[in-house]
Amino acid sequence: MLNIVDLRARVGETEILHGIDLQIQPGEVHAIMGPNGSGKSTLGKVLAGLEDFEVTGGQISYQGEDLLDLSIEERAQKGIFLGFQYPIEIPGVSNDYFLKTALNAQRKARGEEEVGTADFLRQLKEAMALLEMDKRYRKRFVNVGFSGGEKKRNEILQLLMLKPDFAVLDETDSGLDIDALQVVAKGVNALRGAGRAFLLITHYERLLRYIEPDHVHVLVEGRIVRSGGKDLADELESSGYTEYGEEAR
Amino acid sequence: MIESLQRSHEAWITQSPESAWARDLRRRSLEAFHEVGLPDKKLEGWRYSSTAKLARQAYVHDAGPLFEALAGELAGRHALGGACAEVVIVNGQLATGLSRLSSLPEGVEVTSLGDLLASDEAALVARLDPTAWPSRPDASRGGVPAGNLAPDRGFDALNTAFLQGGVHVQIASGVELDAPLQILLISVGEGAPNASHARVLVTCGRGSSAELVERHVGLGSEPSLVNVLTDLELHEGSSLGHHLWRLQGEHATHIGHVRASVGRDARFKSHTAWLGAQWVRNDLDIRFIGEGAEALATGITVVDGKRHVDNHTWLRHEVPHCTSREIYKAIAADRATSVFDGQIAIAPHAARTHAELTSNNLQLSERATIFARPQLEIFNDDVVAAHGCTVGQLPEEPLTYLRTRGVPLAQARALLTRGFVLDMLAEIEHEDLREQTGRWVREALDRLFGEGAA
Ligand SMILES: Nc1ncnc2c1ncn2[C@@H]1O[C@H](COP(=O)(O)OP(=O)(O)O)[C@@H](O)[C@H]1O
Ligand SMILES: [Mg+2]
Repeated sequence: MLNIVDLRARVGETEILHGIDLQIQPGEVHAIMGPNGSGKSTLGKVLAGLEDFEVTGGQISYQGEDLLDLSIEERAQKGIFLGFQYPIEIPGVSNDYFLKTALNAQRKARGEEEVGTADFLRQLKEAMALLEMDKRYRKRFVNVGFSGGEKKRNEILQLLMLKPDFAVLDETDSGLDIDALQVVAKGVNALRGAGRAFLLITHYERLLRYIEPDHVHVLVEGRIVRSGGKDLADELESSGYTEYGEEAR
Repeated sequence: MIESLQRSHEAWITQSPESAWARDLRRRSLEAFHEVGLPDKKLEGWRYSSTAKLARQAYVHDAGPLFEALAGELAGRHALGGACAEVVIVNGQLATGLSRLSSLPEGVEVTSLGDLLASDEAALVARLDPTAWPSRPDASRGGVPAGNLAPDRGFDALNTAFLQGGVHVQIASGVELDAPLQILLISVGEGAPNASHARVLVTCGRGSSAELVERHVGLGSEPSLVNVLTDLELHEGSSLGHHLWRLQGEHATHIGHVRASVGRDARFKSHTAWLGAQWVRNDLDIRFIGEGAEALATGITVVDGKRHVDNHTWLRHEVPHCTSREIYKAIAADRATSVFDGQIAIAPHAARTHAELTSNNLQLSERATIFARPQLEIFNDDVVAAHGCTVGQLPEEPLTYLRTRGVPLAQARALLTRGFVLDMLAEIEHEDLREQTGRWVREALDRLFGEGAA
């Protein structure tokens, strides 16, 4: 589904990703772990097409296409989703209007029929019930005045509504208490299968107790230094990232 | 312009006889006008809004009964609905047949200014007199002696000299209106350019409360001039929401002056939406005359094409302990112009005043023009006053965020622009009027971006 080869990216003069290789097959859940500042968010943003970074080398193919040729919105329309580490506020735009606009923009681009209001509302209600979100969040402006945890939950709501083929979730777990974390995990697990792939970016092993990954990678200073199975996460939990240069916690 | 107005006024007035005091008031107002003339660019407050073109245009006073059917149709589309009472004014004159007043509660009286001018009782002469209201300080440095017209108040004098009609709404003490009252002013310019001079007076008795919609709608293919003066008096403990909507009228020039005097512990809310007319100049003057009063003033401007909207506001804190909050938002597209000038004056003895002023402006095209200026004149240390003005483009981050959800850039822009103005609706307390305002704003935005763009 996704094949990253020797990916290099920089901000200004500083290279941040120094050659990343990663293959993700349909249906797989991958976790990327690593100390702060190692380039995890950068990788997620490069995949989503955000323009703060310049890709200086390497290739990314996604479902057989050259991903780097596609604009941000084209990537989303082709099923890529990025759950932001710091979700953005949109004053004056209500959550439901935003979701419906996004959903229909994607459907339109794929040549599908727009979703009707009744159908949309039913889906929205179901998703919000699963995430234990109060219905007043439908009319609230997108992320405006939301707590950190509420914003993350709202990202998962978008995930559930847009049902992407490939989702990158950037530290969706940070700032959440255990209850909220379980709710978020429930949302992600509800979407697992059906050929859908996930890349979970996280600093802590905690999330992976609720969403079991197939592969775990350790990213340090812009390079994947180790890859392994689920056990690698447990190992990191006890040892921390000290051997990779971060101070012990 | 002035000659044509005078001619058609003389013809018109012979059909509607008037009392001696009214004739005298008109004569004095016209003389006062001739002393100052139309405000021009030499006046600080009129720098961005030229009246030169207007001055060259000839107008007739009354488009005649031919258009009553047309206006009637329009009144239907613009009815507030429900149990709302409605006063309809067509080309400056009260249209009794189109108005619906039966649902007004006891204690609310609507009188025709036309009738008043004909009667011998000179009840409102002091309030109708254009020299009775002071001018903005930047229009008359050094002050204007009482009884003289300030240099920037030429349109007020014209309004009085050529007053065709209007209403006086009186709300008795303690009366609370459940449903909003609408004053629908329709200007029809068909066959010949039409000028209308209407006056709306509202007196809110002690402890009364009401929501008032002042809706202006223009029709017809000829240029029209609307020169309207709205005079609101809020007595002790009263509460008034004034919703001023300017819709339609692609050939209309709209000169508005809304002035409110706010008494002790009274609450005034002014919500304006400029969504129509070719050329608009509106002055909102709020004067605090009793302690503990509050005012909220919001404004939405959506201009495109070559349209022009100029909002001048002037909040005068003349007594201690009053609070004012003002937020204006404008979006200007194409080659349109939006002006905002917000003046706040805090008098030396107006201690513990709290005044906030915000003006946020979105420039959607490089050829659009935006002027935004706050002016604070504070003569007391014991106050909290803050202002912020921004002029800019859409922020990058939300645009990107929307794109990561599959929304194409153009549509994301439309959506954010929409959000920028719709954000203001939260300030409108009355649910039904909030929704109606939203509907008109959305309609204006649809015209800007094409329907369904966001
Ligand atoms: N917009 C930016 N401008 C400059 N430096 C940046 C920018 N974004 C990230 N960086 C730098 O790139 C490195 C990697 O950041 P990031 O990908 O956010 O790390 P992580 O998500 O692993 O904590 C850090 O050193 C950070 O300071
Ligand atoms: Mg990060």
